[in-house]
Amino acid sequence: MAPIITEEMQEAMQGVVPSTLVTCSKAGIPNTNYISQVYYVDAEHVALSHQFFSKSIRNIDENPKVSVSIVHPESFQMWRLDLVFIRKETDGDLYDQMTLQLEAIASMTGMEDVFHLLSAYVFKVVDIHKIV
Amino acid sequence: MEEGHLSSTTSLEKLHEKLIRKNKELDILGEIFSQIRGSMDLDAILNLILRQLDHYFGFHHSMILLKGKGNFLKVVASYGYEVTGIGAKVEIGKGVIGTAAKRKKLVRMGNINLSIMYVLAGEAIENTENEIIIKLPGLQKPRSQVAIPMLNKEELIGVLTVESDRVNLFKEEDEQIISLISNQAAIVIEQARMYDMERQRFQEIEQINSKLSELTQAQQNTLNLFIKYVPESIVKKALSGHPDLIFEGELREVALLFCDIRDFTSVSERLTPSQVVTVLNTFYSRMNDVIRKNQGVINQYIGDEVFVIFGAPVTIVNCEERAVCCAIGMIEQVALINKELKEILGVSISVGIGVHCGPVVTGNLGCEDKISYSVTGDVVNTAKRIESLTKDKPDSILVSDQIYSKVAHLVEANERELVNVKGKLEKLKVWEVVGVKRNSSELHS
Amino acid sequence: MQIPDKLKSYVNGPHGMNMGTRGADLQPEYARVLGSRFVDDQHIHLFFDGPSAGRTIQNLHDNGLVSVILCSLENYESYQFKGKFVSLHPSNPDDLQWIANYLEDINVLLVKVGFPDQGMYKYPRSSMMTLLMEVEEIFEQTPKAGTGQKVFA
Repeated sequence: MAPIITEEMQEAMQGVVPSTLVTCSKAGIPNTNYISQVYYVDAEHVALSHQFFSKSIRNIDENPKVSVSIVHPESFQMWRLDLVFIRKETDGDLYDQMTLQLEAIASMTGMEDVFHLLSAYVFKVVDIHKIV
Repeated sequence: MEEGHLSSTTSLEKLHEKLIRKNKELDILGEIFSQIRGSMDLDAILNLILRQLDHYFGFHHSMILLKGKGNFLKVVASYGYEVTGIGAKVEIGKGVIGTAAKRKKLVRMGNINLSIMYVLAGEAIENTENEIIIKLPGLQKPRSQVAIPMLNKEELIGVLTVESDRVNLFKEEDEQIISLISNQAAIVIEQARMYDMERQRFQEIEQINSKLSELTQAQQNTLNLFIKYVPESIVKKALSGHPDLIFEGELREVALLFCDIRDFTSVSERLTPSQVVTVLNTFYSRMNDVIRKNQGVINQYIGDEVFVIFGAPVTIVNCEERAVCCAIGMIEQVALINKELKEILGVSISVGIGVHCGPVVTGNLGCEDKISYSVTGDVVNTAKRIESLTKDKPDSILVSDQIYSKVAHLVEANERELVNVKGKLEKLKVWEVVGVKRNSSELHS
Repeated sequence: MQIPDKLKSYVNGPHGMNMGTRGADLQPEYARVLGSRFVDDQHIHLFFDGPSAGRTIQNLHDNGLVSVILCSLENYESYQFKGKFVSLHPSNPDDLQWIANYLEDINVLLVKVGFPDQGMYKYPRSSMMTLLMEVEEIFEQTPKAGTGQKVFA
């Protein structure tokens, strides 16, 4: 059976506690960095906003396998998710919500025209581990 | 594998949970709306919604903003904040609330400060040309917020926003209910607003009406006052046609009457100033009654002298007869006045009246700031001259020959001497009116 | 390379710390780090719980590549250290004390920032491991302009 994302895990995917993203280049060098939020798409998919470090993006383009951590903001439960990149999205509800968030932030600094969401990176959940 | 895989018992439990939850939601919604629908008080409705959100969902901080007439929202209700913030404005398009309003979509922000940093940092890498200076927030609590647009048929009514400075968890189902509540609230707000608008419009109309009657009354009062200073006929002429027409001059056939209180100076010496005024005003008002009855127009009062015109500005029939009739009436009135004056003040007055007729130039002389209706011409001077002849005989009426020719069938008169008139070669024939012929009942109309 | 002076004390934390390795199949693996310590100009210690780290240990033995990100909770100053695994052994009492101090200190910071008290104590520590890492590259990862740059000694 495929691993599914539970309600509790969804609560860890609201961008309250930053997540860690581990990627790996084709040459095999791992790269570890923070991302603000892992987005819940459905029970078997998550997404990342394109607004993260370019080295990570380059790695994903070369090697679609990634590992992320999510932390529940109240219980501090942590999960590790193995993901595989499947597609970029440039429209739809997910993209909209990401765009809205980006816009909300950008408009606080008067930069709403400068920032634009390039795409949403959608991943399939391959495995989930509760780190406890 | 561990966590994350459903067993069949767990799935049943979960479904059961979901069902209970759904029922609870329906109860909540029903209760909120029955309470809201009963009232039309917008403030009460909004505050109720916010209280209920805390009661049912544990949202300790919330606000409702309504769209203003311009490109902004205004906080109209708040719950759970130390400073209410009511009246604060948010520009549409700015920040979480402004974006939810602009895009008419729900916006969730799990950790605002963190998001700010990551977004700006991410862009900073891409756009290294732009000097983006980010203030690192330092130790700051994670702030989460959900902003929900309140829509009525796609029209933005306002935004409902729920915030937490602790870690607050907005479950997706919660968001759905809140969206529902928010849109229902939008409808209710619109209704309450329309009700308010109607009431306001009604009040405005009432105000306008009362203002109108005030104005009409004021206008009427002004007109009434005005008429006292200017003959009504002139006022009406001025009001009806082109105002400039009042300056037009005319040549008219009129009868003129001068009436003077003989030797008033010596009478007034025996009276106090206010008594003098009383006497004069009594004289004026009694004379006025007679004059009006005979369709005369008082042109001027000059101290103790009255100058009356018959036949202008409005033409009257038999202006000469009217003038003479008026003169007779005035003498009768003076006798009555004297009865009172003798009794109260121990004085009496006597008058002299001169009447003449002929063509005069009538018009409104003067300019914008001061206009007076005037008659000019020889006839005026002659009428005055005739009146001055009465100084030898108090309480007498002297008329010109031209007048006499018009009233001979109505009055008894004695021919008087021929009179010199300044600037004229011919001497003037003058008659003294001494009585009324028996058959002339018209004179006393 | 040599760890620059300005980062020597930084390495001692307490910071948010997270580690990444990868398997033979290029599958990346995340692991939580519960403390770090400056050893010398080229080396640092990383402490983590073995059993809950998934394939981390396997990966280390397979290719030895490791990257760890450290983030200051006070000002979000962040650095990514990339390098090689040198050695791995169960943590000794000294290490365990270091770890205990780390948890205490980081908890204070987390509470200040509004996170639950004692949250960190949830993390499994049944079998702590001490990893000696040789640092080869350090990257500035603080969210700001110019981030991603390599830091030179």
